[in-house]
Amino acid sequence: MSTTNLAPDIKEPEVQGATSPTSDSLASTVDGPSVFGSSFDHHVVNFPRMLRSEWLKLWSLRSTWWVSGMTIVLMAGLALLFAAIMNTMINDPEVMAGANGAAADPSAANGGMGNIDMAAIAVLIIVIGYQFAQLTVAVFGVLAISNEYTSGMIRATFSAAPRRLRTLWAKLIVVTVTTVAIAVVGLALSWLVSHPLLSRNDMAVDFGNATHVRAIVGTILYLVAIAWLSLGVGTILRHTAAGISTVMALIMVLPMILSIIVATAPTVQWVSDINKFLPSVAGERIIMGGIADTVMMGPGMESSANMLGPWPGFLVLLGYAVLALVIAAVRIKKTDA
Amino acid sequence: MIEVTGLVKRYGEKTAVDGITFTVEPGVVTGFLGPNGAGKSTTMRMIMGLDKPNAGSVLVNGQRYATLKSPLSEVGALLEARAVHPGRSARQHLRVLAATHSIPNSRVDEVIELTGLEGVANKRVGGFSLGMGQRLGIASALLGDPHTLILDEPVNGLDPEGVLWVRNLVRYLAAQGRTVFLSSHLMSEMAITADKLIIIGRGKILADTTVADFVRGASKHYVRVSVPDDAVARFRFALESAGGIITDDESASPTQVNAAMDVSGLDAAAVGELALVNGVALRELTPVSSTLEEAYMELTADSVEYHTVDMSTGEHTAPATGAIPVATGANSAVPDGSAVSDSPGMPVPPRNSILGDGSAEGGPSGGNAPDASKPPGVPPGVTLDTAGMPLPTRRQLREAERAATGTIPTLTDEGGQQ
Repeated sequence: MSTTNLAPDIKEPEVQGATSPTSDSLASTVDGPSVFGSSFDHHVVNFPRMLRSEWLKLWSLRSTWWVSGMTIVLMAGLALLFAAIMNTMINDPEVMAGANGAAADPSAANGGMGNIDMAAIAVLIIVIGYQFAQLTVAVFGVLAISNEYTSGMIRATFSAAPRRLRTLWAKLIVVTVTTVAIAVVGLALSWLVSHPLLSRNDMAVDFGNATHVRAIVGTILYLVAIAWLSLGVGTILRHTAAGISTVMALIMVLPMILSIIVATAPTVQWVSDINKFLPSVAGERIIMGGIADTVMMGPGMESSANMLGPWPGFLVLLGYAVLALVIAAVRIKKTDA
Repeated sequence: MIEVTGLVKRYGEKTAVDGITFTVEPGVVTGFLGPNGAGKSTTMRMIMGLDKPNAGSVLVNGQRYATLKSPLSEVGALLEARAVHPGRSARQHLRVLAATHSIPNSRVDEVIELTGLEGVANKRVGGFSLGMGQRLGIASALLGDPHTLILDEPVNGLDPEGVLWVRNLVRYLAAQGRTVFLSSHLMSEMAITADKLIIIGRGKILADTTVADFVRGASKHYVRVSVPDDAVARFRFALESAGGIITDDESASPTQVNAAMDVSGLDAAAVGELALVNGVALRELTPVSSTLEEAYMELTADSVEYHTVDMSTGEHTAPATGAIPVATGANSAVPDGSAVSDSPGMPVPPRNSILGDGSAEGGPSGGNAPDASKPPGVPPGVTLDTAGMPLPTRRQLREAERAATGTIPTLTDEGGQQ
């Protein structure tokens, strides 16, 4: 950093505050040689002000702008990419020939575009960005609190607002609002960029279809739950790297390892049982249940029989998130900052 | 007004703060003084409600910190470690804090100007120098125009001009009727900034006094006199007859040859004239003024947390407890220039040891350990006080080194009375 303009141009102390003391400030200063009254005696801390502070905190970091922008662009980009691929495949005579053949014989297993729900594919294309968004949302959730502990900012935060649980709830709201905003904008853009290509091929999201709507709304809910889980883990661990790797292990690495075991040794029932109760595997059911099942059924794919239902699955994820937040609340209140 | 009652803080086995009680009054600057690791920062964190005490209580303006309705207007704090996210600008940081109390942005601009941060207010804090970070910390503390200011080592990293500015600022703030509580491990700085002193060592209050009293008790002048052995008894009688008081008489010991005695009550000229009148050859005649720093060193010598090791002997430079009067209040802190009490026969470590020429520091006040014959720097690979102390962190070692190498000018008595 350039220090050329750092010449210590120090002013004589001219702190205001020698204003005439109000009755309130009189009460709060006892027996002083001269009674001091602060200009901000009546500026109390309350929850809306803390919310505003947390909001400023989040959006005064460049990383917030970068990450949310990148998430939205990537969600829409992925949707556009898959829509383009679908468009090419459907308009490819060879693929269509396979599809027609399959239509003639629906019972045959085939690799074509036969007995599948084309509208479900459209939904899948729009929501598929959650796979990426969950990672950035997890980073958001962890960082919202871990960067305060890492930098020491938490001491300033708690000095200004000593009721610590309120700080946690304010962060929870700010993280939730941000996550919902990213998810809504990301999904809307995904629909906008993919719809022209998909509708050309009679693949359109049916907003009257409960399963379609649940998948789309579920994407928002899923991301919010992941953000809550991450905020909880970040508050418990108080460390950015530890928090992010823990959440990543929970929502990415463990499911990956277990699904490989499930795929290679389908008879080992207990692995499959653990797998379906993992936070992300269970939570994803609200998006994928009834969508991916119709699209991606085939050899090597997990059958939905081994999975939880859409809403029970989401409730399992929500349970993890709430548990993490409860432990976080106890820890933030009891442990020295 | 800060009221601390029976405050105790333990970290596992170690008791960082051991049942301290004191009151910080409004309208004056109260200095909180102690060696590194004495418990200053821990106490300040407990006042701020950041750390929970194991016992005791803290009231700020009559209330527990957690129940303050408008904390920033009650207490402004600069705590030891930088408490700022490096990715925010100084202005953003202050606005984030101001938002919790709906303090207007104009006040943010005001404290930026007051602390001389205008030029860097929009730059990210991550690139700030120590001094700039310190100014931002002071700006945050002043943000709420608080009744009480708690500043932990506020002059750390500031240039001389900044140090002077902080000194004037805290005095000005106290004169407005605010409570000002600031910590330091430097007696010299406190003596010219504070009105009252609370000295802490190993988690206990060693002195709770005014600076004026401490200075009065600390400023001792004496003359170190050495005469041939056969003249000692005669000259001692002459000195005492003339009104001199012999405070430290090494010559009384039969093992000492040509040892010196410390004489107070007579100045060097008077001693010289006495020698002439009595026909005694003077071998040494040295006027000595013990400094405030020395008085403080002795008061806290027993409670210095991290002792350096004398590499030449491999021994810990344990505090010479026997040589130091146990001080329970500042007035009993008798300065004793002879804190260097190498027992006879102990090999004098070579000046030019493997640690380099620490001898340049010299003098009994050169280090925070009483053994001045030892180079004052903290060597790498240092081992520590064996009393179950945890290994110090790098930062603690650095701080100990900073304290030990005495970069501060030695405070003179005149300086202490400014």
